[in-house]
Amino acid sequence: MRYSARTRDRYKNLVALLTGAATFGTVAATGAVTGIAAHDSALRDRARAEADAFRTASARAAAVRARQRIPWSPLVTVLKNRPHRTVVHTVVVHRVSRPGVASVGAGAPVSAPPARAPAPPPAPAPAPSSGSKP
Amino acid sequence: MSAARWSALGTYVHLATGDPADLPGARRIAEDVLAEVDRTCSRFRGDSDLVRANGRPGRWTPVDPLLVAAVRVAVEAAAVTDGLVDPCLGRALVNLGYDRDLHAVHRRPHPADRPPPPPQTGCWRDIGLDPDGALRVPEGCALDLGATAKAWAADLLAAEVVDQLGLHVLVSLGGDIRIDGPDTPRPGWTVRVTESPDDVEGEVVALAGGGLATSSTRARRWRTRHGVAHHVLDPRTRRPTDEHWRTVTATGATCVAANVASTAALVLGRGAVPWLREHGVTARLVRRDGHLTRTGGWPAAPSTGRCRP
Repeated sequence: MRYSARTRDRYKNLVALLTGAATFGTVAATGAVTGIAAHDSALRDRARAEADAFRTASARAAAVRARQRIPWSPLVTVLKNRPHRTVVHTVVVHRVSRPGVASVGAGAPVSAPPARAPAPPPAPAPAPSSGSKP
Repeated sequence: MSAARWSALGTYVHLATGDPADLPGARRIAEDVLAEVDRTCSRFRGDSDLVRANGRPGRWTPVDPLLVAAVRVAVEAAAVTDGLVDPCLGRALVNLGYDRDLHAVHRRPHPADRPPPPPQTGCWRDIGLDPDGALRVPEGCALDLGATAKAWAADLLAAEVVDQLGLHVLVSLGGDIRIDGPDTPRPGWTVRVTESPDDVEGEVVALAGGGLATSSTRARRWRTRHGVAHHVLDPRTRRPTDEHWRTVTATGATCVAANVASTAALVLGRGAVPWLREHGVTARLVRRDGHLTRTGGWPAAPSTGRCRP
Protein backbone atom coordinates (compact mmCIF):
# COMPACT_ATOMS: atom_id res chain seq x y z
CA MET A 1 0.00 0.00 0.00
CA ARG A 2 1.32 3.42 -0.95
CA TYR A 3 1.75 5.70 1.90
CA SER A 4 0.77 9.13 0.71
CA ALA A 5 -0.12 12.29 2.44
CA ARG A 6 -3.75 11.56 1.84
CA THR A 7 -3.36 8.10 3.19
CA ARG A 8 -1.41 9.48 6.05
CA ASP A 9 -4.13 11.98 6.85
CA ARG A 10 -6.76 9.37 6.57
CA TYR A 11 -4.73 7.11 8.78
CA LYS A 12 -4.17 9.87 11.25
CA ASN A 13 -7.84 10.69 11.23
CA LEU A 14 -8.65 7.08 11.64
CA VAL A 15 -6.21 6.71 14.48
CA ALA A 16 -7.53 9.89 15.99
CA LEU A 17 -11.01 8.61 15.63
CA LEU A 18 -10.08 5.30 17.05
CA THR A 19 -8.12 6.90 19.79
CA GLY A 20 -10.90 9.31 20.40
CA ALA A 21 -13.31 6.51 20.42
CA ALA A 22 -11.03 4.57 22.60
CA THR A 23 -10.54 7.55 24.82
CA PHE A 24 -14.20 8.17 24.94
CA GLY A 25 -14.74 4.56 25.58
CA THR A 26 -12.12 4.61 28.23
CA VAL A 27 -13.50 7.71 29.74
CA ALA A 28 -16.93 6.34 29.44
CA ALA A 29 -15.88 3.07 30.95
CA THR A 30 -13.90 4.76 33.65
CA GLY A 31 -16.76 7.05 34.33
CA ALA A 32 -19.12 4.17 34.52
CA VAL A 33 -16.82 2.28 36.87
CA THR A 34 -16.23 5.38 38.85
CA GLY A 35 -19.97 5.99 38.90
CA ILE A 36 -20.63 2.47 40.01
CA ALA A 37 -17.97 2.75 42.64
CA ALA A 38 -19.39 6.04 43.75
CA HIS A 39 -22.84 4.52 43.79
CA ASP A 40 -21.60 1.54 45.84
CA SER A 41 -19.89 3.82 48.24
CA ALA A 42 -23.04 5.85 48.66
CA LEU A 43 -24.98 2.70 49.20
CA ARG A 44 -22.48 1.52 51.78
CA ASP A 45 -22.61 4.83 53.53
CA ARG A 46 -26.38 4.79 53.42
CA ALA A 47 -26.52 1.19 54.55
CA ARG A 48 -24.07 1.93 57.32
CA ALA A 49 -26.10 4.91 58.35
CA GLU A 50 -29.28 2.89 58.20
CA ALA A 51 -27.66 0.12 60.16
CA ASP A 52 -26.42 2.58 62.73
CA ALA A 53 -29.85 4.13 62.92
CA PHE A 54 -31.41 0.71 63.19
CA ARG A 55 -29.04 -0.29 65.94
CA THR A 56 -29.69 2.90 67.78
CA ALA A 57 -33.42 2.51 67.37
CA SER A 58 -33.24 -1.15 68.36
CA ALA A 59 -31.23 -0.39 71.45
CA ARG A 60 -33.69 2.32 72.38
CA ALA A 61 -36.65 0.02 71.74
CA ALA A 62 -35.01 -2.79 73.66
CA ALA A 63 -34.50 -0.48 76.60
CA VAL A 64 -38.13 0.56 76.42
CA ARG A 65 -39.22 -3.07 76.19
CA ALA A 66 -36.99 -4.00 79.08
CA ARG A 67 -38.51 -1.26 81.18
CA GLN A 68 -41.99 -2.42 80.21
CA ARG A 69 -41.11 -6.06 80.96
CA ILE A 70 -40.01 -5.56 84.54
CA PRO A 71 -43.39 -5.98 86.23
CA TRP A 72 -44.16 -9.36 84.68
CA SER A 73 -40.89 -10.79 83.44
CA PRO A 74 -40.22 -14.28 84.80
CA LEU A 75 -36.61 -13.23 85.19
CA VAL A 76 -37.63 -10.78 87.88
CA THR A 77 -38.16 -12.18 91.36
CA VAL A 78 -41.62 -11.29 92.55
CA LEU A 79 -42.40 -11.82 96.19
CA LYS A 80 -45.74 -13.61 96.45
CA ASN A 81 -47.89 -13.97 99.49
CA ARG A 82 -48.31 -17.67 100.16
CA PRO A 83 -51.35 -18.76 102.15
CA HIS A 84 -49.19 -18.99 105.22
CA ARG A 85 -51.53 -18.39 108.08
CA THR A 86 -51.45 -20.03 111.45
CA VAL A 87 -54.24 -18.50 113.40
CA VAL A 88 -54.30 -21.32 115.92
CA HIS A 89 -51.56 -20.93 118.47
CA THR A 90 -48.38 -22.38 116.96
CA VAL A 91 -47.22 -23.99 120.18
CA VAL A 92 -50.51 -25.80 120.49
CA VAL A 93 -50.50 -26.96 116.87
CA HIS A 94 -47.04 -28.39 117.32
CA ARG A 95 -47.99 -30.03 120.58
CA VAL A 96 -50.96 -31.90 119.11
CA SER A 97 -49.12 -32.71 115.88
CA ARG A 98 -45.87 -34.07 117.23
CA PRO A 99 -45.02 -37.69 116.46
CA GLY A 100 -46.86 -40.13 118.69
CA VAL A 101 -50.20 -38.39 118.99
CA ALA A 102 -51.82 -41.11 116.90
CA SER A 103 -50.18 -44.02 118.71
CA VAL A 104 -52.92 -46.25 120.02
CA GLY A 105 -53.09 -47.61 123.55
CA ALA A 106 -51.95 -46.18 126.87
CA GLY A 107 -55.02 -44.06 127.46
CA ALA A 108 -56.09 -42.71 130.82
CA PRO A 109 -57.81 -45.23 133.08
CA VAL A 110 -61.52 -45.67 132.53
CA SER A 111 -63.54 -46.53 135.59
CA ALA A 112 -67.06 -46.92 136.71
CA PRO A 113 -68.38 -43.56 137.88
CA PRO A 114 -68.45 -42.79 141.58
CA ALA A 115 -71.64 -43.91 143.23
CA ARG A 116 -72.55 -40.34 144.25
CA ALA A 117 -71.69 -38.77 140.93
CA PRO A 118 -74.48 -36.61 139.56
CA ALA A 119 -76.36 -37.86 136.55
CA PRO A 120 -74.62 -36.96 133.32
CA PRO A 121 -76.40 -34.59 130.97
CA PRO A 122 -78.34 -35.98 128.03
CA ALA A 123 -76.32 -37.04 125.06
CA PRO A 124 -76.06 -34.13 122.65
CA ALA A 125 -77.38 -34.87 119.21
CA PRO A 126 -76.38 -36.38 116.91
CA ALA A 127 -73.38 -38.09 118.44
CA PRO A 128 -72.85 -41.30 120.29
CA SER A 129 -71.25 -39.87 123.41
CA SER A 130 -71.09 -36.80 125.61
CA GLY A 131 -69.33 -35.61 128.71
CA SER A 132 -69.85 -33.75 131.96
CA LYS A 133 -67.86 -32.95 135.03
CA PRO A 134 -68.85 -34.28 138.45
CA MET B 1 -69.77 -27.53 135.89
CA SER B 2 -71.08 -25.71 132.87
CA ALA B 3 -71.36 -26.78 129.28
CA ALA B 4 -72.20 -25.31 125.90
CA ARG B 5 -73.42 -27.06 122.77
CA TRP B 6 -73.47 -25.91 119.19
CA SER B 7 -72.76 -27.22 115.70
CA ALA B 8 -69.50 -27.19 113.75
CA LEU B 9 -67.59 -29.43 111.32
CA GLY B 10 -70.87 -31.07 110.35
CA THR B 11 -71.52 -32.39 113.83
CA TYR B 12 -72.15 -31.18 117.36
CA VAL B 13 -69.71 -29.54 119.76
CA HIS B 14 -69.99 -30.16 123.48
CA LEU B 15 -67.69 -28.00 125.58
CA ALA B 16 -67.56 -28.20 129.36
CA THR B 17 -65.54 -26.31 131.96
CA GLY B 18 -65.47 -26.64 135.73
CA ASP B 19 -66.37 -23.02 136.43
CA PRO B 20 -69.31 -21.45 134.56
CA ALA B 21 -67.42 -18.16 134.43
CA ASP B 22 -64.78 -19.79 132.24
CA LEU B 23 -67.18 -21.07 129.64
CA PRO B 24 -67.61 -17.95 127.43
CA GLY B 25 -63.87 -17.52 127.00
CA ALA B 26 -63.36 -21.19 126.30
CA ARG B 27 -66.16 -21.13 123.77
CA ARG B 28 -64.65 -18.18 121.92
CA ILE B 29 -61.38 -20.05 121.60
CA ALA B 30 -63.21 -23.18 120.50
CA GLU B 31 -65.15 -21.37 117.81
CA ASP B 32 -61.97 -19.79 116.45
CA VAL B 33 -60.13 -23.11 116.34
CA LEU B 34 -63.00 -24.95 114.70
CA ALA B 35 -63.45 -22.22 112.11
CA GLU B 36 -59.79 -22.55 111.17
CA VAL B 37 -59.96 -26.33 110.99
CA ASP B 38 -63.08 -26.14 108.83
CA ARG B 39 -61.52 -23.52 106.54
CA THR B 40 -58.45 -25.63 105.93
CA CYS B 41 -59.49 -29.29 106.30
CA SER B 42 -63.06 -29.52 105.00
CA ARG B 43 -63.70 -31.75 102.00
CA PHE B 44 -67.02 -30.02 101.38
CA ARG B 45 -65.98 -26.38 101.19
CA GLY B 46 -64.93 -25.24 97.76
CA ASP B 47 -62.60 -22.66 99.26
CA SER B 48 -60.82 -24.99 101.68
CA ASP B 49 -57.13 -25.71 101.40
CA LEU B 50 -57.83 -29.44 101.26
CA VAL B 51 -60.14 -29.07 98.26
CA ARG B 52 -57.49 -27.01 96.46
CA ALA B 53 -54.81 -29.61 97.16
CA ASN B 54 -57.12 -32.48 96.11
CA GLY B 55 -57.71 -30.64 92.85
CA ARG B 56 -53.98 -30.77 92.02
CA PRO B 57 -52.96 -34.39 92.55
CA GLY B 58 -49.31 -35.08 91.90
CA ARG B 59 -48.31 -31.44 92.33
CA TRP B 60 -47.30 -29.33 95.30
CA THR B 61 -49.96 -26.91 96.46
CA PRO B 62 -49.35 -24.04 98.87
CA VAL B 63 -51.67 -24.57 101.84
CA ASP B 64 -52.08 -23.38 105.39
CA PRO B 65 -49.59 -25.04 107.74
CA LEU B 66 -52.58 -26.03 109.84
CA LEU B 67 -53.67 -28.42 107.08
CA VAL B 68 -50.14 -29.78 106.83
CA ALA B 69 -50.25 -30.56 110.55
CA ALA B 70 -53.63 -32.28 110.19
CA VAL B 71 -52.42 -34.39 107.26
CA ARG B 72 -49.23 -35.28 109.13
CA VAL B 73 -51.35 -36.72 111.93
CA ALA B 74 -53.44 -38.63 109.38
CA VAL B 75 -50.30 -40.09 107.82
CA GLU B 76 -49.07 -41.14 111.24
CA ALA B 77 -52.43 -42.81 111.88
CA ALA B 78 -51.99 -44.78 108.66
CA ALA B 79 -48.46 -45.73 109.65
CA VAL B 80 -49.32 -47.00 113.14
CA THR B 81 -52.24 -49.08 111.77
CA ASP B 82 -50.38 -50.29 108.70
CA GLY B 83 -52.92 -48.56 106.48
CA LEU B 84 -56.12 -49.60 108.25
CA VAL B 85 -56.88 -45.91 108.86
CA ASP B 86 -56.14 -44.42 105.48
CA PRO B 87 -56.46 -40.73 104.52
CA CYS B 88 -56.48 -41.57 100.80
CA LEU B 89 -60.12 -42.65 100.61
CA GLY B 90 -61.52 -39.38 99.30
CA ARG B 91 -62.24 -40.69 95.81
CA ALA B 92 -63.85 -43.85 97.12
CA LEU B 93 -66.20 -41.80 99.32
CA VAL B 94 -67.06 -39.51 96.42
CA ASN B 95 -67.80 -42.50 94.20
CA LEU B 96 -70.08 -43.84 96.91
CA GLY B 97 -72.02 -40.58 96.72
CA TYR B 98 -70.60 -38.96 99.85
CA ASP B 99 -69.31 -35.94 97.96
CA ARG B 100 -70.94 -33.18 99.99
CA ASP B 101 -72.26 -32.45 103.44
CA LEU B 102 -74.34 -35.41 104.58
CA HIS B 103 -77.52 -33.31 104.89
CA ALA B 104 -77.15 -32.41 101.23
CA VAL B 105 -76.53 -36.07 100.36
CA HIS B 106 -79.77 -37.00 102.12
CA ARG B 107 -81.68 -34.35 100.17
CA ARG B 108 -80.77 -35.93 96.84
CA PRO B 109 -83.79 -37.40 95.07
CA HIS B 110 -81.73 -40.28 93.66
CA PRO B 111 -78.53 -42.04 94.72
CA ALA B 112 -75.41 -40.67 93.05
CA ASP B 113 -72.94 -43.48 93.62
CA ARG B 114 -70.59 -44.79 90.93
CA PRO B 115 -68.36 -47.86 90.77
CA PRO B 116 -65.48 -47.65 93.26
CA PRO B 117 -62.04 -46.60 92.02
CA PRO B 118 -59.51 -49.37 91.59
CA PRO B 119 -57.80 -50.45 94.82
CA GLN B 120 -54.72 -48.36 95.50
CA THR B 121 -53.41 -49.28 98.92
CA GLY B 122 -50.47 -47.57 100.48
CA CYS B 123 -50.63 -44.31 98.54
CA TRP B 124 -50.59 -42.46 101.88
CA ARG B 125 -46.85 -43.13 101.86
CA ASP B 126 -46.54 -40.83 98.83
CA ILE B 127 -48.19 -37.82 100.45
CA GLY B 128 -45.81 -34.86 100.36
CA LEU B 129 -45.67 -32.57 103.39
CA ASP B 130 -43.88 -29.24 103.76
CA PRO B 131 -44.37 -27.88 107.28
CA ASP B 132 -43.89 -24.35 105.98
CA GLY B 133 -47.15 -24.68 104.08
CA ALA B 134 -47.29 -26.99 101.06
CA LEU B 135 -48.94 -30.32 100.39
CA ARG B 136 -48.70 -32.85 97.56
CA VAL B 137 -51.63 -35.25 97.15
CA PRO B 138 -50.50 -38.43 95.39
CA GLU B 139 -51.50 -38.91 91.76
CA GLY B 140 -54.87 -40.64 91.44
CA CYS B 141 -55.81 -39.94 95.07
CA ALA B 142 -57.95 -37.52 97.03
CA LEU B 143 -57.48 -37.02 100.73
CA ASP B 144 -60.29 -37.36 103.25
CA LEU B 145 -59.40 -36.54 106.84
CA GLY B 146 -62.68 -37.76 108.30
CA ALA B 147 -60.97 -40.52 110.27
CA THR B 148 -58.66 -38.18 112.17
CA ALA B 149 -59.43 -34.48 111.65
CA LYS B 150 -62.38 -34.29 114.04
CA ALA B 151 -60.43 -36.00 116.82
CA TRP B 152 -57.38 -33.88 116.06
CA ALA B 153 -59.54 -30.77 116.25
CA ALA B 154 -60.74 -31.90 119.69
CA ASP B 155 -57.12 -32.28 120.83
CA LEU B 156 -56.22 -28.92 119.31
CA LEU B 157 -59.19 -27.14 120.81
CA ALA B 158 -58.62 -28.52 124.30
CA ALA B 159 -54.90 -27.74 124.16
CA GLU B 160 -55.62 -24.19 123.04
CA VAL B 161 -58.04 -23.62 125.92
CA VAL B 162 -55.53 -25.01 128.41
CA ASP B 163 -52.73 -22.98 126.87
CA GLN B 164 -54.62 -19.69 126.89
CA LEU B 165 -56.83 -19.98 129.95
CA GLY B 166 -55.18 -22.66 132.08
CA LEU B 167 -58.48 -24.49 132.60
CA HIS B 168 -59.67 -28.02 132.85
CA VAL B 169 -61.80 -28.66 129.84
CA LEU B 170 -63.78 -31.42 128.19
CA VAL B 171 -64.62 -31.18 124.52
CA SER B 172 -66.62 -33.59 122.44
CA LEU B 173 -66.82 -33.26 118.66
CA GLY B 174 -69.46 -35.69 117.53
CA GLY B 175 -68.40 -38.22 120.14
CA ASP B 176 -64.64 -37.68 119.89
CA ILE B 177 -63.76 -36.53 123.39
CA ARG B 178 -60.64 -34.89 124.76
CA ILE B 179 -60.13 -34.06 128.41
CA ASP B 180 -57.23 -31.77 129.17
CA GLY B 181 -56.06 -29.48 131.92
CA PRO B 182 -53.07 -28.19 133.83
CA ASP B 183 -53.32 -31.21 136.11
CA THR B 184 -55.52 -34.23 136.33
CA PRO B 185 -58.78 -33.67 138.15
CA ARG B 186 -60.07 -36.36 140.51
CA PRO B 187 -62.26 -38.29 140.27
CA GLY B 188 -62.44 -37.10 136.70
CA TRP B 189 -65.26 -36.50 134.29
CA THR B 190 -68.22 -38.75 133.79
CA VAL B 191 -68.99 -39.61 130.23
CA ARG B 192 -72.04 -41.39 128.91
CA VAL B 193 -71.26 -43.63 125.97
CA THR B 194 -74.17 -44.14 123.63
CA GLU B 195 -74.65 -45.20 120.04
CA SER B 196 -77.10 -42.55 118.93
CA PRO B 197 -78.21 -39.16 120.21
CA ASP B 198 -81.59 -40.43 121.31
CA ASP B 199 -80.14 -43.39 123.17
CA VAL B 200 -81.03 -42.81 126.82
CA GLU B 201 -79.45 -46.00 128.07
CA GLY B 202 -75.78 -46.04 127.19
CA GLU B 203 -73.09 -46.62 129.74
CA VAL B 204 -71.58 -44.09 132.12
CA VAL B 205 -67.85 -44.21 132.85
CA ALA B 206 -65.38 -41.92 134.58
CA LEU B 207 -62.31 -40.64 132.78
CA ALA B 208 -59.61 -38.43 134.28
CA GLY B 209 -57.96 -37.24 131.08
CA GLY B 210 -56.83 -38.08 127.59
CA GLY B 211 -59.03 -39.15 124.73
CA LEU B 212 -62.15 -41.24 124.31
CA ALA B 213 -63.59 -41.77 120.85
CA THR B 214 -66.56 -43.62 119.48
CA SER B 215 -66.78 -44.77 115.89
CA SER B 216 -70.03 -46.20 114.65
CA THR B 217 -71.46 -47.46 111.41
CA ARG B 218 -74.92 -46.47 112.65
CA ALA B 219 -74.19 -42.81 112.03
CA ARG B 220 -73.49 -41.10 108.70
CA ARG B 221 -75.42 -43.44 106.47
CA TRP B 222 -76.97 -42.73 103.08
CA ARG B 223 -78.69 -44.47 100.21
CA THR B 224 -76.83 -45.86 97.22
CA ARG B 225 -78.00 -47.85 94.20
CA HIS B 226 -76.90 -50.99 95.99
CA GLY B 227 -78.35 -50.33 99.42
CA VAL B 228 -77.40 -48.22 102.41
CA ALA B 229 -73.77 -47.21 102.79
CA HIS B 230 -71.91 -45.88 105.82
CA HIS B 231 -68.83 -43.73 106.11
CA VAL B 232 -66.29 -46.17 107.58
CA LEU B 233 -64.50 -47.67 104.59
CA ASP B 234 -62.14 -50.61 104.49
CA PRO B 235 -59.05 -49.35 102.61
CA ARG B 236 -58.43 -52.85 101.31
CA THR B 237 -61.75 -52.98 99.44
CA ARG B 238 -62.63 -49.28 99.31
CA ARG B 239 -66.13 -50.30 100.35
CA PRO B 240 -67.95 -49.78 103.67
CA THR B 241 -66.84 -52.22 106.34
CA ASP B 242 -68.91 -55.35 106.83
CA GLU B 243 -70.29 -54.13 110.17
CA HIS B 244 -69.20 -57.07 112.28
CA TRP B 245 -69.01 -54.38 114.95
CA ARG B 246 -71.49 -51.56 114.70
CA THR B 247 -69.90 -49.33 117.35
CA VAL B 248 -66.48 -49.23 118.98
CA THR B 249 -65.44 -46.87 121.79
CA ALA B 250 -61.75 -46.69 122.65
CA THR B 251 -59.44 -44.68 124.86
CA GLY B 252 -56.04 -43.19 124.12
CA ALA B 253 -53.50 -40.72 125.33
CA THR B 254 -55.02 -38.30 122.84
CA CYS B 255 -58.35 -38.16 121.09
CA VAL B 256 -56.60 -38.95 117.80
CA ALA B 257 -55.09 -42.08 119.31
CA ALA B 258 -58.48 -43.15 120.64
CA ASN B 259 -60.18 -42.51 117.31
CA VAL B 260 -57.49 -44.35 115.38
CA ALA B 261 -58.05 -47.40 117.59
CA SER B 262 -61.84 -47.31 117.29
CA THR B 263 -61.73 -46.86 113.51
CA ALA B 264 -59.15 -49.60 113.03
CA ALA B 265 -61.31 -51.95 115.11
CA LEU B 266 -64.32 -51.33 112.86
CA VAL B 267 -62.19 -52.03 109.79
CA LEU B 268 -60.67 -55.18 111.25
CA GLY B 269 -64.03 -56.71 112.11
CA ARG B 270 -63.50 -60.14 113.68
CA GLY B 271 -59.81 -59.45 114.14
CA ALA B 272 -60.38 -56.32 116.18
CA VAL B 273 -60.26 -57.74 119.71
CA PRO B 274 -56.82 -59.38 119.39
CA TRP B 275 -55.51 -56.23 117.73
CA LEU B 276 -56.83 -53.99 120.49
CA ARG B 277 -55.41 -56.27 123.18
CA GLU B 278 -52.08 -56.46 121.42
CA HIS B 279 -51.90 -52.67 121.41
CA GLY B 280 -53.09 -52.33 125.02
CA VAL B 281 -56.24 -50.44 124.11
CA THR B 282 -59.10 -50.13 126.55
CA ALA B 283 -62.23 -50.39 124.46
CA ARG B 284 -65.90 -51.26 124.34
CA LEU B 285 -67.22 -52.98 121.24
CA VAL B 286 -70.85 -53.45 120.26
CA ARG B 287 -71.44 -56.29 117.83
CA ARG B 288 -74.05 -56.07 115.11
CA ASP B 289 -76.52 -58.01 117.28
CA GLY B 290 -75.89 -55.78 120.31
CA HIS B 291 -73.51 -58.11 122.16
CA LEU B 292 -70.88 -56.21 124.18
CA THR B 293 -67.16 -56.98 124.34
CA ARG B 294 -64.64 -55.10 126.49
CA THR B 295 -60.89 -54.95 126.27
CA GLY B 296 -58.19 -53.61 128.56
CA GLY B 297 -59.41 -51.78 131.62
CA TRP B 298 -62.93 -51.02 130.45
CA PRO B 299 -65.16 -51.52 133.51
CA ALA B 300 -67.80 -54.17 133.42
CA ALA B 301 -71.28 -52.73 133.21
CA PRO B 302 -73.27 -53.51 136.33
CA SER B 303 -76.52 -54.15 134.55
CA THR B 304 -76.23 -55.72 131.16
CA GLY B 305 -73.86 -57.19 128.65
CA ARG B 306 -75.94 -56.20 125.67
CA CYS B 307 -77.06 -53.11 123.89
CA ARG B 308 -80.36 -52.74 122.20
CA PRO B 309 -80.29 -54.52 118.85
